Amino acid sequence: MTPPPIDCLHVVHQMWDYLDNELPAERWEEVRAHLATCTGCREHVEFCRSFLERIRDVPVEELEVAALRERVRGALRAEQFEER
Amino acid sequence: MLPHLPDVARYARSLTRDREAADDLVQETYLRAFRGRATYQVASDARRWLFAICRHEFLRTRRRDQRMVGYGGEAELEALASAGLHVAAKRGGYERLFAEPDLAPAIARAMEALPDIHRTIVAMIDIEGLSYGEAAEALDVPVGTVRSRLFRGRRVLQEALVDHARDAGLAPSVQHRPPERPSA
Repeated sequence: MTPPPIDCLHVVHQMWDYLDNELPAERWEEVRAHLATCTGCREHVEFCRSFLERIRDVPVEELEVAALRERVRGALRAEQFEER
Repeated sequence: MLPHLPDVARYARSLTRDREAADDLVQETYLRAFRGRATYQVASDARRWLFAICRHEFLRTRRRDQRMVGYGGEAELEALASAGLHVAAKRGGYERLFAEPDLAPAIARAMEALPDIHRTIVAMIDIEGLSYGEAAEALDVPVGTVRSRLFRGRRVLQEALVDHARDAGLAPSVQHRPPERPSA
């Protein structure tokens, strides 16, 4: 017997688990099937997906990185020297 | 390993939200990596290896400083609140705000403003790429606690960015952006 389709509330509750690939395969497929037919939920998932893609790139200034790189190089050189 | 330093620095910054503490953490990460270089498998992912060292060192230091406080059971409500934010963003014309190129400083500020327990989870899952189970194991908390902290952290970040879009008047540039015309 085919299980009843899940509704929008269930999709919203499981939206992060869906985007993070944390749902069991069967449940993930149910959400995907719902999204294929529901514009509102699809827009919501896309909004959250674009949010996740954006926060994965939290910026660090290049100048700060250059200074830090030199500092780490110095610490590693000192560590190597101590090992000798 | 040094080519991965900007990524490690970004991860350390998101864990600590303090530049000085983050720089110390990066240095300690590289020193520990150097000392443990015999355990590194040449074929494995160096970035992932450095991230794991960075996280271990961060958690080791923090456990020393404080006991972690746990709570749980709010994940679904937080997911629902995120949906409410999407509706608000849509109504305000900010639905495409995450495509806005000038958003980076606002994201950094919002991450810094997150409480420790939420920022740590967001960094571990959204930046390092751990699964819920891996994060739960690293923090020694139930997966349900990871979910509720993560979803709350994301919701608070979204809220801050929607507020930023409204206050900065980003709507006209992010709403109804016309499609690019094909060149003749």
